[in-house]
Amino acid sequence: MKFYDLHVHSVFSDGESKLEELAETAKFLGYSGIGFIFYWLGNEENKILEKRVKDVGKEVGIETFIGYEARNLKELRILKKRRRNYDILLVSGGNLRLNRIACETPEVDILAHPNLGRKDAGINHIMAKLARENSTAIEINFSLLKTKEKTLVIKQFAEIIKICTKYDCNLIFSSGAFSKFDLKDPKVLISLGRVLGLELKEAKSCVSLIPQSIIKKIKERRSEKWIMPGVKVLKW
Amino acid sequence: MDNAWRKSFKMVIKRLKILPPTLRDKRRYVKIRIICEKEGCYKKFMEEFLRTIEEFYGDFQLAWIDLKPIRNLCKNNTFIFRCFYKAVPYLILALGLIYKVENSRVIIKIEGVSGTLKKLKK
Repeated sequence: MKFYDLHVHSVFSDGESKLEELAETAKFLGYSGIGFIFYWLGNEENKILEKRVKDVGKEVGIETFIGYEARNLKELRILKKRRRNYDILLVSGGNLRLNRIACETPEVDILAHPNLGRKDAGINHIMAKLARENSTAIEINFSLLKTKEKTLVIKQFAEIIKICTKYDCNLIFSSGAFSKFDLKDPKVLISLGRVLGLELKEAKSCVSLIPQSIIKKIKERRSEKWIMPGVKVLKW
Repeated sequence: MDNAWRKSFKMVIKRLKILPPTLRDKRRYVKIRIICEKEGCYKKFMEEFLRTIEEFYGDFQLAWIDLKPIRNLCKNNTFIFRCFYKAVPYLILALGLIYKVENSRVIIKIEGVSGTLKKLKK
């Protein structure tokens, strides 16, 4: 089974570890692919970073993806316009308005940590329905368990899982690592799902099948045949 | 005659007869490998892990988990734990919550989960 972690920060985005170190650790832990998340700096920087990410993937022998995290509406607008230039679009959750917009936007792949800095789960049944319609995955970020408020975070995770299971919304687990030491074994992420009430198959799909479906979507979008959502060139 | 009776009594109280398989607790063995930032934190890992798991689950849950480190098979950076078969995700999650051992950050890899030690060694 292939496992993917699509939310990892490196030295280029507030992290501590180099791209090579992160990729090597991910391979050691048993991941088939890893998504490096950056903050938007410009088109030229994006080209350099993309080349670097691809080179690291080839060197280490692991699939690598380039992604951007939108921290506010302004960044989201910029990133939406340049959607074909990179792989993953992630929205940093926590703000209710931003959470809702992320669920409404089909270009967004992942709504990261919707419960960040909140006392509630950050999503409700309406947002879950919107996320399902627009195939936006809701992320459960393991790094939030690093904080002292573990009890609150676990309660929020359980609520997110309950809502997403009820409305059949895509759920994704990631380590949200800022250094190679924050990367977690896929079995740890699966265990988190199991402990919070998911079946083994469901928990595994959150680290494997759902990321794979996102990757499939990415590959389609970045191919030359793709024009816009739902429209692509077919050969007869 | 008296001595013989004493010897047999001692034998009885020394060890209970093994329970039939249906009454025995099912167990699982979890093998892990750790990589430390600084060398020499392996000795303290066990203490840190037991502290973390007790803090996270409490005494009651820990009794249900039935955790036991297999100390004679723990070498350098490889550790083996035994637990109740339904408590494997709980044990693995607790392992994921360890970030530091003696101010040195660690990476924990779950090498395998098995019902017998023999299979785990392979």
